Amino acid sequence: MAHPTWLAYGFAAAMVVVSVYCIGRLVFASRFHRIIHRDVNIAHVLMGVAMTGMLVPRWSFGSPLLWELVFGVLAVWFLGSSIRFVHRHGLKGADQDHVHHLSHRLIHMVMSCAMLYMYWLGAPMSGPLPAMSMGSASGSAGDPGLTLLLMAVLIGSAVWQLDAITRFPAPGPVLAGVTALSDGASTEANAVAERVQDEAAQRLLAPRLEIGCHIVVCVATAYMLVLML
Amino acid sequence: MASRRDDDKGSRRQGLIAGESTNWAGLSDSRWAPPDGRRLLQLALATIWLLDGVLQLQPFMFTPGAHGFSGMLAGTATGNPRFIAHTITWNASVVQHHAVAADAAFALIQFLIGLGIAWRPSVRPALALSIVWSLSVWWFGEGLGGLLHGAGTPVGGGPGAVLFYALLAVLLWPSDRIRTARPFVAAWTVGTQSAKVIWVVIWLALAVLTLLGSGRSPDGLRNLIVHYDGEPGWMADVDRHAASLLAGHGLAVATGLAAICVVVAVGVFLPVVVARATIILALMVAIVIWVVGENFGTVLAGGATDPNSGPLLVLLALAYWPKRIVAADGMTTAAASPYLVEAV
Repeated sequence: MAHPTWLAYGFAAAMVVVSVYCIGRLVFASRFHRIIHRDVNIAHVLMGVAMTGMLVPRWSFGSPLLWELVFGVLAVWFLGSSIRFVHRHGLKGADQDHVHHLSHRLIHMVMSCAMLYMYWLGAPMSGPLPAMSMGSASGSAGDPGLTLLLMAVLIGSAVWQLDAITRFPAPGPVLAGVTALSDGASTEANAVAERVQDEAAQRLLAPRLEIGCHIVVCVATAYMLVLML
Repeated sequence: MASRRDDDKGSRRQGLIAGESTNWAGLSDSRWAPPDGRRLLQLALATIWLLDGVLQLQPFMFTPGAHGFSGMLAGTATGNPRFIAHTITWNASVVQHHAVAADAAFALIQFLIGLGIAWRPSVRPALALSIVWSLSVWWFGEGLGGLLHGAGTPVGGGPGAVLFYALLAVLLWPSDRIRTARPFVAAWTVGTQSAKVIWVVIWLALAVLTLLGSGRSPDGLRNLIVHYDGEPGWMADVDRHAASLLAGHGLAVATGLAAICVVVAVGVFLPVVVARATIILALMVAIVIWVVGENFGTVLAGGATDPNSGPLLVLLALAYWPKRIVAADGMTTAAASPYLVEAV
């Protein structure tokens, strides 16, 4: 079966960009005390690195056993995080940022399980391109029903997140608006406006780009899964 | 004038301070509304489009020849009138000669449609593109759903899954029309009467197609199911049992299915409680067709570009689900007719 190499390299490049960017987010947030979901960003980094190795064998490192361990730990972490969240906020509750719900944690658990599933089936050990041809030439790997279900969940998550991305306006107008409000106002109002501005500066670090990373990782994982059908 | 501006600025500041339009992170936009019924269906449609795009990236799709995507396209020409068959084989030959580029372009278009519907600012262009693309695929990729040579039974995906994509794009088109007295999502854009007419036409057409051509022959439905190849074990078991049940009973099953389609068609004119029962019946029909008749669009066998018509029929039925009824005084009531209700 012919399969364009550029497609694998394209997805691998996207994964590299996501990984590097998420590492940058972690460093930036730590350095400048900005708010991010550390576990989510770490998960994106690890998934990006692992899938890069799956897509382009020359760029892979670490044994499959190591990666299985990593994604097993991640899946357990997000499961525990989900349980803690339900205990604290209930099934329908929202995080303190009023934006993220239980599904935010569960979907990352599913993503970790999807990675674990791919490693269990041995695709990464034989490299991505052979694995791609294996998927079609010698029948599907794993259970196609489960593979399709994982694909549907990941793609659904990407779509859901893309819909929610518009809830975050560009950060510029928020600060500009606060600054404009403080112009010519009373001392007390100025103080409050400055406090709001300070709080705004503590906001989530580039939430739209974090969502963008999530969407790219979801689509790339779905692509890896479709090769197993 | 300046005073009014100051007042506005003051109230905006108070709102900002009081946190009316911002959360603790200072970012959530108060104008952003959570997805309503129509938006949820749009997102489901976007998910299916995106799934189609990913399926288009399967390795065999990039392969020229009879076992590749071009071979799949060329196969739909069989049985069609000469002119139509010629256009389909012409398109298949173009894909054959540019297998990688053509498949990548097809995938890209489906990605654009899926992501475009999911991103609010681009919903309209994406839905418009989906209509054009669906009709093109119906002609060149599905051979008009087998309608012209008696192979359009709904059990096998007739009259063509992509027609439902286009239809849903129309019914779920964003509009600013007032939604009062619109009993279900499908009526929000085209109006209640038009939506009902569309529903009746669809289900009556499905009833007719069930009784036309190979679908009504004694072993027509059985043959449709047994020809599936490469399915996983559990799906093959389902196929075996279904095939043995259907053997020799094609006409009876087709007649029964046609009768159910007629009941579903008229259900939209009945009182809410009965209408809901017929919508549930429609959902069950769609699921049975998807699982037994279409084998999930043969996605599990690794040879499909889409999940076929089952999920689209489910979305269509959900778009006609009568909403909870709220009277003018805010009390929940059981209206005798969906004409008199307000969707909430």
